[in-house]
Amino acid sequence: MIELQALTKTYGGRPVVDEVSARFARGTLTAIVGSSGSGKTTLLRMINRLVEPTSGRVLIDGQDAGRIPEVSLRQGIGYVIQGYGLFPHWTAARNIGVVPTLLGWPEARIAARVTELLQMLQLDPAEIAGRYPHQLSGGQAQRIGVARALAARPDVLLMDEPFGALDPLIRRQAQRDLAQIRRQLGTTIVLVTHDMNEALYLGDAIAVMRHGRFEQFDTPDRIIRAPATAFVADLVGETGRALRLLALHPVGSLSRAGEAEGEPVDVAASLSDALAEMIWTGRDRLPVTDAQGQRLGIVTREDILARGRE
Amino acid sequence: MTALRWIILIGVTGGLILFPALFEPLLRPFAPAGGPAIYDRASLASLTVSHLALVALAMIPSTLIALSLAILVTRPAGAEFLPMARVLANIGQTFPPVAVLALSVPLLGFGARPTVLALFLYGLLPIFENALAGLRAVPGSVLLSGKAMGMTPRQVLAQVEMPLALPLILEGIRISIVIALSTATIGSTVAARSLGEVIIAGLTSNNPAYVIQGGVLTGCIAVLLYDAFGLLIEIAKRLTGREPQQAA
Repeated sequence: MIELQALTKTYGGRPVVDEVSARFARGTLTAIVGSSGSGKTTLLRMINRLVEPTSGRVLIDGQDAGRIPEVSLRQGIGYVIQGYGLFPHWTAARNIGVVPTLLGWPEARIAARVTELLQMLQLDPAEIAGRYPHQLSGGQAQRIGVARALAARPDVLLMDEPFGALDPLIRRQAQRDLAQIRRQLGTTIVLVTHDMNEALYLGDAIAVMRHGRFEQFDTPDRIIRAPATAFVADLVGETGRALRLLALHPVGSLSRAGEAEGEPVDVAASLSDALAEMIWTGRDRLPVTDAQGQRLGIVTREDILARGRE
Repeated sequence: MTALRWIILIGVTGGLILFPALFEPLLRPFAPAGGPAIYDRASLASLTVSHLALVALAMIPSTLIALSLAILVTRPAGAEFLPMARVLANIGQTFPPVAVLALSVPLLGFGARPTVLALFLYGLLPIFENALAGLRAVPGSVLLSGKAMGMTPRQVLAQVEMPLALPLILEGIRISIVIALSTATIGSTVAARSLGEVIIAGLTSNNPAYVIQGGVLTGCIAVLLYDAFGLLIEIAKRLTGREPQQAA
């Protein structure tokens, strides 16, 4: 768990982060959303002390980060930045292995970990491990950046606009991959973004930041339903609110017994996807199946519409 | 083409040093009638060795100091020394080596010492400026990554900044060495043993054959070292992954 206590950073007397207090629960992904200059990157960098707080503290699992030696603190926290900052003179494998090497892992263990991470991120170790960063595509470089951050199995992962440099198509894929691997990891993730859609899609909790403060720190559902300020409402957007809400919930949450015809929908797909499928194929109920294709029940249009009105 | 160039350079250099007599027929037309065509007061081999020793004695401290300065002024704590370091390196370059020789002989006496001093001062600026450019060219995101991964400042310098700056650092050393190699010839005016001795002897005794062999030998060694450093720089670039690997 990460706890921020009245965390403040001032530059030349002007607060960039202004007495922010919050708790990010263990194993959750918290998305910090804000425009540039809102202080979100500064806040993130105070967690691994790339920026020293002016006042206030960061507690990581109850330990004051300010009292842990900088180097060991950072070796225990994964960090991914926009543009990835891969070491251009090292191969992908050596980039991924940098923290384990600093920690003095034996070489065989590092090599095994590198292979394991490449496979987890759907990269072919034989093909990618020996490549230099300039020989990687944007999507590959992004995944190497994530693998490097995860190499030493950190409990905390900080991500600063990790998808910012990707084109939209690859970005969506990378977001899906992150959503998937974080379930296997149990790592506490703090992700900084200016993209509310990204935050709504990935976050268990969302902090909307403006002028160095949290305007609202809440679940995605609450952010859409009950924006605390005009700024938050503006970020979420007035139109299509019901559809955004439906996008947050899986079909499984409304699945019920029954029979339906035609192409089934996956239990993990969102309610908005199911509704779109109904509109497109002119049906009012869809069969629901799990990942193995097993029939679980049905989802009906009335139920979805009712959920959207709640 | 490059192979031919290497063969000619090594052939001429090696030949002049080891078997100067072979070049006698070529140099004979330039020698005064009845005079010697090949310098005989000292062997070209021993003069080449002392010439290279002068260059090495000047370049090693020049490299160490210029590199240290460049590293110092690129650290957060040393940034304020940048203008001072620039002035220092520039002074070395502004004083012509001949002036340094003339001014330092009264202090250091005749012989190798004033020459080494002049070459040392002259060599500082190119090494300093190139190392500075190399260290500054390391992208900020890469430095931030190193820090964020938990590297100490020393590890960031040794494992990230220096390897990335290495090609430019070598480029600076190459420039300084080539300048030093040719400038070392004037050291012979203050009695430093170098290939300049041959040239000066040719000028004073009106024997163009001497001037040619001294000049050609110095020039060939300079070009050889220049090419050798070119090779080193290529290797450094390849080792640090910034040259596309050539298909075998």
